[in-house]
Amino acid sequence: MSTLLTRLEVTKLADELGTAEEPLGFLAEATVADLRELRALITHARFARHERRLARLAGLTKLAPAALAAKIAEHALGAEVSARVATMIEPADAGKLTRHLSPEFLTDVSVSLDPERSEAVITSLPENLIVQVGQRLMARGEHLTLARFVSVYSVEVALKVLEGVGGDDLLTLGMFAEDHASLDAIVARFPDERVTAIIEAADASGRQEDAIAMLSFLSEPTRARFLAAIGALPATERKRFTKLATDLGYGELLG
Amino acid sequence: MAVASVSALAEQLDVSPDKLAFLAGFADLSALEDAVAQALGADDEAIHQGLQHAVNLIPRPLRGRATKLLMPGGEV
Repeated sequence: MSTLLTRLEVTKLADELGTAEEPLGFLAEATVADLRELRALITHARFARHERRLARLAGLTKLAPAALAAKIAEHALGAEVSARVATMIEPADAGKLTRHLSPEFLTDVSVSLDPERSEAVITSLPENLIVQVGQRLMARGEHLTLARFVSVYSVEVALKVLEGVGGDDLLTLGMFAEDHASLDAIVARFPDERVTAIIEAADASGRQEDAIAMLSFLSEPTRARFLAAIGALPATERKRFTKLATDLGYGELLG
Repeated sequence: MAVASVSALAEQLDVSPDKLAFLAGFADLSALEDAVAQALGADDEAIHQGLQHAVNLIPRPLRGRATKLLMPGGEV
C-alpha cells in the first residue's frame, strides 16, 4: 500500500510542479510524509519568492475599481498569477472582484489556487458560484484540484458539486483527497447506490488498488458501507479485492 | 553527488538542507532539480510579465500611482 500511496503523492508533486510524473517516479521510494513535506516546501517557496510583488498586485484592488482590477486579472496577470494574488486579497475585495470575472476564468484560477492560503476568500464567495466552478472543474477532469478543495468546501457544497458524477470519477477524487476527515464526511452522505457505483467502477476498470487506497482513508463506519458493496460483488471479483488488499498489507481493511 | 544535489535543491527552495535530508538517499536528483527550476523560472516570467502588462492596462490618470505601487523605485 505504501507504494500506491507514495505513487499518489508523486502524482500530486508532479502536478504542483506542472511536470510529467515519470521523471519523478524514483521518489516513490520515499515515504508519504516526506513527499508531502517536500510538496509543501515547494508550494511555500513558489509563493514566498514573489510575496512582495504579489502583495503589490493585491494592492491594486484598493486602488482600481473592481471592474478594472478584474480586467487586469483576466487579461494581464492570467490565471496562475491571479491565483497567487487571490491569497493576499481581503475576502470582501475578492467578492467584489469575482462579480466581474467570468466563471471560465475563475475555473482557470481555481486550478492554481492554494486552498489553505485562500480559504477565507473561497468561503466568502456565493455558494452557487463555488458550485458552478466546482462543476466546471469536474467537467474538465481536474480531479486533483477538486481533491485539494475537499477541506475547504462545506459538505453541502461538495455534494452539490458532485451531483451526477459517476463512480469512476468519485473514486479518483477519493483517492487524491488531501483531507481524509473531510472526505469521510462527504462520502458518509452518499446514498448506498453511489457507494456501490464506486466499487463497481473500481471492479470494472481494474482499479481495485485505488479503491483500497480510498478505503484506507475512511472511518470504520463509512468503510463498512463499501465493504458491503464489495461483499455484493460476484465471488471471483470479491476474492480479487480481498487478495489484493492482503498482498498490499491491508487485509484487515476488508476484514 | 546526492548530498551536493540536496544542497542545490535546498538553495533553490531557500530552505535548510536538513529539511530535505530524506533525499540524500537518492543517487540522482537532477530530474527533481530540473522540474523545480522550471517551475520557479515559469513563475518568475509570469509575474514579471503580469506586472508589466498590469501597468499597461491601467488608464492614464491612475497609471502613475499604479506604477509607484507595483514597481516602487522602478523595481519589477
